[in-house]
Amino acid sequence: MRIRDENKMTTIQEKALEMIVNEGFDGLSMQKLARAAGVSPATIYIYFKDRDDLIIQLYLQQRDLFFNAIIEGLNEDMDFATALKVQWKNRARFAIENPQTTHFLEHITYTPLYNETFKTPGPRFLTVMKSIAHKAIENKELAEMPFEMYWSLVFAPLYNLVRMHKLGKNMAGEPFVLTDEMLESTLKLVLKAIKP
Amino acid sequence: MELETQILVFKTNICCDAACAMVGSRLNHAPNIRRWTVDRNDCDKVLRVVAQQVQAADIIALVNSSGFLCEELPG
Repeated sequence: MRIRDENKMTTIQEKALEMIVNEGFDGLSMQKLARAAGVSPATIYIYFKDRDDLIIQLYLQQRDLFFNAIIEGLNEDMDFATALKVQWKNRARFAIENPQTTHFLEHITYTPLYNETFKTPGPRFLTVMKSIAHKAIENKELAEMPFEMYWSLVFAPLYNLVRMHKLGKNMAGEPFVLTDEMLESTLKLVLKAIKP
Repeated sequence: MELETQILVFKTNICCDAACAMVGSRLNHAPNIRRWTVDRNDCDKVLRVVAQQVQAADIIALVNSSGFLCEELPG
C-alpha cells in the first residue's frame, strides 16, 4: 500500500523543472527523473500517470505561481497607467527572481503539450486585467486593437529589457542593468504609443 | 464507509494498441478497478491502476492471463 506524500511530490516536481530547464523537454524521462530525485520510478507513477501528465501538472503549478505573483497589488478599480506599472514591476521582478519558472513557461509554448494546457480554466488575473483594459478603452487611454497587438505593444518592450538585464549586457555586448527609472520611462512611452 | 483508494504500479510488456485493448477488456470488467493507464513511452511500459481493495497479485494474474508479463515495480 502506497501513501501520497506531498513533500515527495514537491521534490519530484522541483527535479523535473530543473531537468527540463537544463536538458530541454526531451531530456526528461520518468527513469532519469527517478534517479535524479532519489526515488523509484514506481513512486513517480503514484503521482503521475505518465510524462505528459507530469509536465502538465507542473505547468499548472508553475502557472499559478506566476499569476499569483503578477496579480499582487492589482485591483479592478485601478486606473490603467497604475495597473500597467504594477504589472511591469511584478513581471520584471518575477522573471528576474524565478529564472527556472520563466524558462519553463516560455519553452512549454514550443511543445505540443501546450495545446493541452488551454483545457484548464484561466486564472482570475485575466478577468481583472481585462476589466481594467476595457475601462481604459472607454476612457480613451487605450486604442481598441486585437489582443495580440495589445499584448505585444504593452509587454514585449518590458520582456526585452528584462532579457538584456538577465544577460547583463545589451545587444552590442555592453554591460546593462535595468533600473527602475528606465523601466518607468519606457512604460511612459508605451502608454503614449497605445493611446487612440 | 468510503473505501480507501489505492494506486498500484507494474512493469509490463504491453507495448501496442492491440495489447492494450486485450488487457484493457479484462481490466475494464474487473470489479473495484476505477481507472488504469499504461505508459507505453516508458521502457517499463508502466501499468498504473487506481483501485479499491485489490491485491497486486490479482492484477498480475489478470494481466498474465491475457498473455503479458506483469510484475510489481519496486517502491
